[in-house]
Amino acid sequence: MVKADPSLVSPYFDGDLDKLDESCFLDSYSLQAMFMDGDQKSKLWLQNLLKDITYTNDLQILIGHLCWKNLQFSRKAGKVILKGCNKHKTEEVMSPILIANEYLTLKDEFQRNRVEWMLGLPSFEFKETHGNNELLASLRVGCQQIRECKDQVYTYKTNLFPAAGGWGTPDSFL
Amino acid sequence: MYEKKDFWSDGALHMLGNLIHACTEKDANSLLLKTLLTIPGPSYGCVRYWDWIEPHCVSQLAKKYGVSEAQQQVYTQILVNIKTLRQEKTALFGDINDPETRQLLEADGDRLTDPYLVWKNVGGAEWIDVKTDAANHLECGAGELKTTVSKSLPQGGLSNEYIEDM
Repeated sequence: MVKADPSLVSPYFDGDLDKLDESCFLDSYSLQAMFMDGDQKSKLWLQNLLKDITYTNDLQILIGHLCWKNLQFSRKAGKVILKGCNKHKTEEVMSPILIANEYLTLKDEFQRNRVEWMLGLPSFEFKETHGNNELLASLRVGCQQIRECKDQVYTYKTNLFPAAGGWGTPDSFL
Repeated sequence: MYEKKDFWSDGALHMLGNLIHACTEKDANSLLLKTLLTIPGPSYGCVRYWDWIEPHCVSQLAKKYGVSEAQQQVYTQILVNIKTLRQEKTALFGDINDPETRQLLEADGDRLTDPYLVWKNVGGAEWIDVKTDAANHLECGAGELKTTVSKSLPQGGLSNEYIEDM
């Protein structure tokens, strides 16, 4: 059973668990799954919930509450949000985008971490021209690798995933 | 978002719209806005990331074809939100060469970087540190590449179409 910690009162929840049970759209099993930090099931559950726009407003509050002063859950939620934002269908990305609003502006000591995860860290773009042989000599940087002034020379890579920047890694917001 | 801005991508547009909306409505301590106002721009056309957003929205709204009514609404809302931000947080939108504005933007640990154009490689390509972990089949290296650079002075937005003498 979920227990309240009176020392941690987030801006989203006043600590009254009965009130939460009354207003919450989740059944007790889902609510319990949400709190299972480190459990793969909770991430999948969150991913599925983000696909539907019906509960976006409630989810904003819930994720805001769970991420507040919680780096571990913030990281987990960040991965789910970023994966959700990298979908192709507009209707699928709307819910993660709206939830990201709350996620990015949640004020606590980990806000900067969340902003960096979502927006990515600027890194100078380079291209290899001749495969992997003499890698450094074949690198093209800056003006050498762009055709027009508006072409991208900086990319913003998120460090939220283990294989950061690798193939299949979700793009950051920027 | 920048990469997808010229494609017909509603997802990227909504992402941009919501990010600016978050800066306007929810960003009480301006941390999100300050980040966008300090990190380097994606191209040589802009000093900071923020600089491409407004000109892009204006140019999209000026198009006669290819922008749907729904997209126009989002672009218009972005411009309205930017106007609100400029009015409410005037100090953050000052000249970045002004020390006071710079100090304000960098107060939370962000750093405004001086924009440089990187031209050609002029040799000197060498590895300065290579570490190998044979057991795990890993190799990690740091390399040094000498390039010519010059100071970049973009006017903001996407004004220059081509860079000459590439």
